[in-house]
Amino acid sequence: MDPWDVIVVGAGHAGIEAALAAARLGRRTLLLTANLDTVGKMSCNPSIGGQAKGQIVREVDALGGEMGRAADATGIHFRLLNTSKGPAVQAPRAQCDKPRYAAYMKRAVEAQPGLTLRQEHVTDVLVEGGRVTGVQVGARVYAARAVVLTNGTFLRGVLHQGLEQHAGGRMGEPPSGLLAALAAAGIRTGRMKTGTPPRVNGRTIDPAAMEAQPGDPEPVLFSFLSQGPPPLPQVSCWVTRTTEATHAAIRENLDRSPLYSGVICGVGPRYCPSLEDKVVKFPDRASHQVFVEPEGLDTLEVYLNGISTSLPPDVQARLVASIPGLERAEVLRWGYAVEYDYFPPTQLWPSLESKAVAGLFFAGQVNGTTGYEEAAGQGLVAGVNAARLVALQPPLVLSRDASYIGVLIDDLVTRGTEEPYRMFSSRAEHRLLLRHDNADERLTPLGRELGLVDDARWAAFEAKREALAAGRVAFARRPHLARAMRRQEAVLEQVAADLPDVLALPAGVRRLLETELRYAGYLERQAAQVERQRRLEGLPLPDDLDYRGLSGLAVEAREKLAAVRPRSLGQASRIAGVSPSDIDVLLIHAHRRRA
Amino acid sequence: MALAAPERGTPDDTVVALSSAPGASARAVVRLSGPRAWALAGEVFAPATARAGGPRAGSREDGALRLPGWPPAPVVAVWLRAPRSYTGQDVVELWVPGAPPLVRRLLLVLEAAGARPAAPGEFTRRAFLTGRLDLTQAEAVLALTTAEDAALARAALRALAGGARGRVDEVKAALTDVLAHVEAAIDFSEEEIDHAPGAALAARLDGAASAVRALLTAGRARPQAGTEPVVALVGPANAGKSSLLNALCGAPAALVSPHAGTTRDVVGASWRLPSGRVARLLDTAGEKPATSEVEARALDLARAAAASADLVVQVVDGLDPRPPANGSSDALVVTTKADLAHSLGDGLRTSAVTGEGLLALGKAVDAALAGRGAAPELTGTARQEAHLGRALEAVARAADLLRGQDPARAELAAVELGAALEALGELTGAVTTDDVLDRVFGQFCIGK
Repeated sequence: MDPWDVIVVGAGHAGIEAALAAARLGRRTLLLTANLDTVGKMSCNPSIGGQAKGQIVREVDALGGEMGRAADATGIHFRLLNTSKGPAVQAPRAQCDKPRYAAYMKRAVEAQPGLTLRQEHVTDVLVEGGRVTGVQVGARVYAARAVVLTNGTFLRGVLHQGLEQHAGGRMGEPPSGLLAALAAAGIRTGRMKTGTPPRVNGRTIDPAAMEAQPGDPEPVLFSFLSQGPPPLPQVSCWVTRTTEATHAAIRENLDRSPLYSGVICGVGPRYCPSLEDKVVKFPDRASHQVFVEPEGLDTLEVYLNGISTSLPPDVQARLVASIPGLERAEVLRWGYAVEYDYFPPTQLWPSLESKAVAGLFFAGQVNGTTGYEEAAGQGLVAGVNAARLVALQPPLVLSRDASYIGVLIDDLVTRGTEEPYRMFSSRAEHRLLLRHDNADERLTPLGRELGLVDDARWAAFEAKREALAAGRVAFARRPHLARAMRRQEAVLEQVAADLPDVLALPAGVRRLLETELRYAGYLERQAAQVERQRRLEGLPLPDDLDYRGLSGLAVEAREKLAAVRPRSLGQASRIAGVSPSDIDVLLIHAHRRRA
Repeated sequence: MALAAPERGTPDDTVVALSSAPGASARAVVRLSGPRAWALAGEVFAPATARAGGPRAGSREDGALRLPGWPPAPVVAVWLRAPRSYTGQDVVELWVPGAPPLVRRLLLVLEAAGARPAAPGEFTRRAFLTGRLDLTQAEAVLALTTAEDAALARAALRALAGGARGRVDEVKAALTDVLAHVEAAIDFSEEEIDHAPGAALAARLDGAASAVRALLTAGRARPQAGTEPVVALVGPANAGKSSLLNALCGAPAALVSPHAGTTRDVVGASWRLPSGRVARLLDTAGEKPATSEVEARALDLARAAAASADLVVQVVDGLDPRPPANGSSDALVVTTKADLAHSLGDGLRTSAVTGEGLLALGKAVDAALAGRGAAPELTGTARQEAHLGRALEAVARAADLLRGQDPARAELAAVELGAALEALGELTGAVTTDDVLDRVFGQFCIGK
């Protein structure tokens, strides 16, 4: 049989976007998953988006990806965060109906022409002469020109509950091996950990004892194609708090915690600590928030966001019962911690292709990230680049100044990560330019060029772009109004009260215009910064540059540069341990080579 | 001073230069730096006692200098290995007899063997490129080698020891801390973190701004290398200003005569003060009613010189002690002709003939000049001033934003703080987003 163009291993949030992108670019694509019933499963909390992550979802959508539409179709609680803190840090977030989200995604991959979905347990990757040739399934082989690995937390996964542990990638599901060929190719692994909280039966909680947290009355959706109100009925979430009794339960049982008894050695995320960590590291805090989030409309299961724990079940029962509103709550599933292997991502090119094995791409949690959104963004890029590799096209590398996905991948391949990497808006140095409201302007033309954006999306985008251009022209012709818009809290509809053409623009376009005008000075400054940075980005460094033979570099910089092999001087400048003087040495070298 | 990009050459070649002062001396130091430094030195150096495996890194060895056609000369070689040398490269210092013909010959032989003559400042530039010195320190070295007086040299030494760096780093730490608060409020808006109120953060920024301003003032107050402080002698015609100048500077720089109005042009000479500092002493045309176009122009010149001087010395004629017509209040007042018995008048009594009061005048000028500007720790180059200025503006805007009511203040303050940190980073190294996140996680209980 002919080899597949692209095989994607794993049908989680990264694998789905990778497979859809490769198939939409016309490659014969095979998506393999160990369990067809967990395609698109949300293994952790039921939410999509949030600070910086919401922007990533909109970027995935602007590039023709699926995540935004899936979240809009299955969201049951939408909020726009940070509305009072400035336009660039506003971010959409939704609680989704978990089973429906997974069902939507399974149907999306099933419905995609050119994409074959199949349940198979992949046991190894095939590598010949430094190039991937396919995957192994027991004794059988699937040949492929490119392979995308999106194994999530399944690589040598170990689940911890108290001092008990067993092998697994997610509760109730076996781990995967898959390491032999990669280890033989010299690809290193590291160890990380993450955790989940207990889930309880919604019938047994007392909403009256908690603070209700309703969604926005006029939800901001993720997809640039979504119109009108969300299709599903909307529900409320609740907020409650831990108590002294909760903390006492934890303190008395620390010796039974795998985290504090030294059983877990993987590095956990500092921004998403277990409740044990919070109580130990911040002993002065008498109480911590607990967000009570329904997991769907057809289930009463409720997620207790904020109390991730790997303490044994009897302690979990005690601490749940110590929280107001949850005194009589029945636990449906216990929380646990999972330790898993990841591949330190500095072993990848900015295309997400392995430096050691040509044609092999990595995306998602295997690269040391957390979050559905981070996974989806990488998956899309890996899928596009696997497809382009097969067609002998140059890879897609998104820049830091045009997308959070670009920031994410550049951070990963340049600086690596020691803890599970989550996106924060503060990681983006050009944050004002990377807003959720302009993700389409930043990326949809590129998506169209790549072949990811269909005619319907393109037509909608062009209509918006024309409306925006008209609005910009209207203000460019009236500098006094543009100046008036720079005042604090200037409202477009008031300043442009006499301009019916502007008032007739769609509401979304008017808000975007308002932001552009209000922060014009700052936006110009960031654009100028981007220009300066681009000059360094434009100076290429050869892949085979012998850093160890380059005198003048500090020893640490020499090692780091040799490991990362940056593609440009700009990328080199962001490597931890590379100082401005090292960059000067490279600058001299780059000039000399060109001469 | 452009240290960032050497005009020629790269650290890949080996350079040589005479590192001690030119001219005859007891001993001259010839320094080689670069990958071939040891090999090149080995071509001209024969150790007194050969050591198996060659010289040891960090050692000092006696031996003989062997130059073709010359008899052996005694020499001490100091062998240093990268990165443990001044330049961070392999370095050899050859201490040879300070005879200029011998030194010239040695340099020629080394150059013929493949060493390139070092450009001015190149050893320091290499030290910067290899990360041995940061930019402020490298600039301090250059300032030190060109320092013309003790005060300049002391300032440069302080900068070299990292005095400014410490203060810049403190400011950076304060800014990073405020930025961490701002970013935590943005990225973790759902969390219950103990938000410091905007006014408190703004107050911390005010403190940081003062620190930057102090660095900026210190840099500006310090005269640039090569431009000494200017002291102008002013006073009535025939008061003895020119005689005083000649006496102080130890040279007949100004023409002296008993006739009032001998001095017309502004005459200047170098004056070594008791502190060791060198000042530029100006003699100006004496004050008297102008009787000609030339005399009027001379008086204009005198006034201009006095106005631009760092310090004015008001000279009073001891034989005719009239109060100065329009003397400036912070001028030093001296009375001349103290050797003449009937000399009178206020102020410091001096005599150009006996030397009376001259040392006291020098000390008084030293004290007056020292009062102008605190001892600087940054060598105030234009580059440093530009970065500090940018940082100061950004910090001030960030403080305003945090105090203000703009709905986007957190986001915009973060932009300003980022700009300030970037500007300071140009001085002593960058602050990364990881540094900010480390602070966020260190201070706040985050974790939904």
